[in-house]
Amino acid sequence: MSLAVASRYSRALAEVVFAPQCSTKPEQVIADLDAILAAMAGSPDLVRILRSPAVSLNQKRTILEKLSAQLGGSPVTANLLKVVSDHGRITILKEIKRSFQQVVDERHGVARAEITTAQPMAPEQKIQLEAALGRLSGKSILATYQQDDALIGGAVAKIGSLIYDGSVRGQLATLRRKLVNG
Amino acid sequence: MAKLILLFALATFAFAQEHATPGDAHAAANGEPAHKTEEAAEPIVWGMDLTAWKWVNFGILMMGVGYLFAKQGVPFFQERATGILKDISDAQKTKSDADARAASMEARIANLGKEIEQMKADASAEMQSEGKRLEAETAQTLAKVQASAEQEITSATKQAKAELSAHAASLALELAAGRIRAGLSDGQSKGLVSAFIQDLEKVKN
Repeated sequence: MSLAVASRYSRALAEVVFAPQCSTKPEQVIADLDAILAAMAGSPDLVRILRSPAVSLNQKRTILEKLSAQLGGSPVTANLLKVVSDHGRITILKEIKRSFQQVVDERHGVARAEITTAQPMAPEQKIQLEAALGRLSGKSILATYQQDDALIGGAVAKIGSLIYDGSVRGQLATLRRKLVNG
Repeated sequence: MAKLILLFALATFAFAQEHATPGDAHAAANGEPAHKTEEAAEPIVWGMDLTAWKWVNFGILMMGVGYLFAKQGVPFFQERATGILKDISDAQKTKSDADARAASMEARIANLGKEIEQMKADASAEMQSEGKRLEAETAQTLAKVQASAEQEITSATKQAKAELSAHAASLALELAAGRIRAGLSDGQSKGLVSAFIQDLEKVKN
């Protein structure tokens, strides 16, 4: 439910940001939202105030305006915060940012890949893997790498909801299913 | 009843007239006591015999009485007779009803033995029928229970086999994973990643 709502907000935000007359860049909005989310994560009192029904909408707006100004946020971000706060959706700001990131990536033809390996990868392998994933998705790949010993060997690449599993753990799991199901 | 009383009063009056003497009448007419006339030895005779008049008087009286009796008494007695006849008829009807009921009861009592025998026979037949039905039902239930138990045993066996198979597979794969992990060199690890990249290329092609 919150994902669907977040998607609506993010698409509306993208329409504003990608409009020709808008001077604010999408990356700027993403950076602003990251800063706001970091501030909220560091201040539970701030979150409590923004969520509280006892605090009026005007007070919340004032707080968010001051916060956005202190963090050097763009007017588009400040407006977004006002709208989200007025509709009581400040709790899904993180999802809105994530969804907006995806929209921006889609518009830029970028796919974010999470690559997990058992051992650290060599740079040339990273280049080869990103190239292979780029050819596979038809987009340029922005990859993030992490290590997981449980994979035993090989690698797992995740792009959006698609998972490419080339790990030993995955192959053993496939073998197990075959053994159990006969 | 009132008519009868009236009739009785008239008869009494007539009787009183019958026994009054002419002297009494004369005395009564002059306002003197009647006993003075008793001093005379003979009753006053007006030149004719009064006996005939007495009969005439009596006849008139009887005619009146007869008329009243015919007009009032006859319907009264007829009504009484009708009522009595009706009561007798009702009593006879009640008696005949009671007789019929008594006869019916006697007939039923007479057939009671037969009815009891019939009831015993019916109950016996019903018991036999119920016994057969219960027997069939029990057999059916037993068959169902047996089938269900066999099905459960089959299912449990399958499940146990599957669990055993899964457990054996898990153990084997844990063992295999441990051995692979222990024997995997850096080169082999890089080789696995390279194989993954080649597989991705194949997927695209």
